[in-house]
Amino acid sequence: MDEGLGKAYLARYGKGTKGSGWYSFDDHGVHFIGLVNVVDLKAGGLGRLGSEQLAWLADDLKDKSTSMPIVVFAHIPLWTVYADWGWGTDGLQALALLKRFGSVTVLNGHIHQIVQKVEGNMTFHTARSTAFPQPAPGTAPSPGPMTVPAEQLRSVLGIASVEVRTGDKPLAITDTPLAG
Amino acid sequence: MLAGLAVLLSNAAAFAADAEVKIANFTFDPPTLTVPVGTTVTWTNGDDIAHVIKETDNRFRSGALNTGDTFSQTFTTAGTIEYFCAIHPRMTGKIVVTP
Repeated sequence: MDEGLGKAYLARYGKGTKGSGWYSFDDHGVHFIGLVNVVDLKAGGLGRLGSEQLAWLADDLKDKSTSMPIVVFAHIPLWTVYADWGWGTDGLQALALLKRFGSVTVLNGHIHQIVQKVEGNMTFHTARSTAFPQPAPGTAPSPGPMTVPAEQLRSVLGIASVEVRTGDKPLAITDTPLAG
Repeated sequence: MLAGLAVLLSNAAAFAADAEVKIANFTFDPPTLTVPVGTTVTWTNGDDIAHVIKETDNRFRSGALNTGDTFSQTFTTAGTIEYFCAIHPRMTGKIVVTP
């Protein structure tokens, strides 16, 4: 963590990014968007995207076809998992901008546990952490690190990965000719 | 003259004792601390993760406090100071400085 609001970090890892580090790129026909919702947070509040980043996002998506798959990542969940603990983002406009697309995958961290949700064409996923587990929403007085017996620790830490897996079940729609 | 000044200073120091806020389990303890003017408040991070003390209007801001790190601020005017953790903004606290 550096004191220039991420300046040293961006100089090393964020070359070519905009603002506090947001960016987008295309790969294999998929549009990837990295958002920053952890800068200039307000007391008691949620993650925050800010007007400059939202304007950039609107412009970034403007010419994209609705059939283009979108993958969005940001640290704090982009949808509200648990507002009392700040587990959400003040950025409904961002989700509104993504709504018209046929396939949107949102990947987040921050809460150190897996929560998934599907809303329309948007799929939300959070991931485990490799540092420490945190309690399920509202099950503890605060979201601080959860202490578990040493032998259980590795079962509540983890990484998220994306891979192609061929299903072993036939599709539900089957076409049968009338004869022959 | 010098002796008198020394007495004054030591009286002031005795009146405005230093105070502490502990950070543990993502909370400020105590969440509201009442102190007389001139008190130096020291925050100590007891969590295994970094926290940053930030006054709501950014009148003061600590650097990143790692485990065991401290941050001190002396309050020379009466009033209520609200602050939060700039990384975990649900963590909020107040210092009430009395005249």
